Amino acid sequence: MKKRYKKNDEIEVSLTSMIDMVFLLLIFFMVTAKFVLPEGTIPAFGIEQAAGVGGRVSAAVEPYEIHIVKTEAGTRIQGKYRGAETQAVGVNDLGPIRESLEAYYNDNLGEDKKTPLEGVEVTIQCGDDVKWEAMVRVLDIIRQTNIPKIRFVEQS
Amino acid sequence: MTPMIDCVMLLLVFFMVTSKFKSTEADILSLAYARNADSEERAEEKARFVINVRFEEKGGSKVIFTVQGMVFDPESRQAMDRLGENLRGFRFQEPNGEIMVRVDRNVEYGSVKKLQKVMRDKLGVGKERELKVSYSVDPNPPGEISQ
Repeated sequence: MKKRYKKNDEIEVSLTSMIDMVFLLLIFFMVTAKFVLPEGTIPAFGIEQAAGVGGRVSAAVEPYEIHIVKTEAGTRIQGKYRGAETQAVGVNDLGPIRESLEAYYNDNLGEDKKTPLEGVEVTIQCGDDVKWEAMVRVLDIIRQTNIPKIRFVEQS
Repeated sequence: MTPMIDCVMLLLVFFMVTSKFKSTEADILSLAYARNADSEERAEEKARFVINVRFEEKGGSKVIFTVQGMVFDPESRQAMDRLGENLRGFRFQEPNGEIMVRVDRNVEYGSVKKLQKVMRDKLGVGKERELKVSYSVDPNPPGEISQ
């Protein structure tokens, strides 16, 4: 015997299983989602033997030398250029080093007062026990001064 | 019931769209802060060779290099040779690819220097300008650091 539907009968779709599934998916994505902040980059520079410091100096401009060592008082950063020395202890205040680097850069600009002369660069000698965080802070202030080249030099 | 389902659906779509499954190449580590960092240009089609320099375990002192799940001990000459060969292989396969070095901020420079030497000896980093090698840094300030 055929079942007869009345005209005004409504077909009911059970939403329960769909909602279950959606909730499961939602919980999965909420639990696994991890918001990743974008990272920044700084260019990597090559490392050379200590002998390279003298060998690579161009006749026109001598490099600005930075020495980073770990001492009991903290990380000591020493900048050297033409016999003048600038020093900072700790990496939270590198102002004197930055000023000295800016002076070096400005002293060695070409005739157009915009382009640095060939050979303008910073060499860095760093102790093996210095934390990478300190090194990055130093690289950061060098980059602020627009000096085009940075070289790591092995300690002699 | 309908507004609730709408809301749940919206949340679901949001999480599905924003979630990104963690790639195996980048380990979770604490990067050093740099104010003047370049923003990361992540061209999806550009191949990357990611080297993580981190401590072997949380709170540990032994430093290791990891590349896509492979672990290299910087103290082992053979491991450094293998890493160098991997770098060379990548460079051969992807001449326009880039190398990213992700260093934990508490790692000492001596370990990074070993990696710099491998890159210098095997790839000529510092001599050839066309090879793109970068250090990953955190562009967001963490506050003052210990001396």
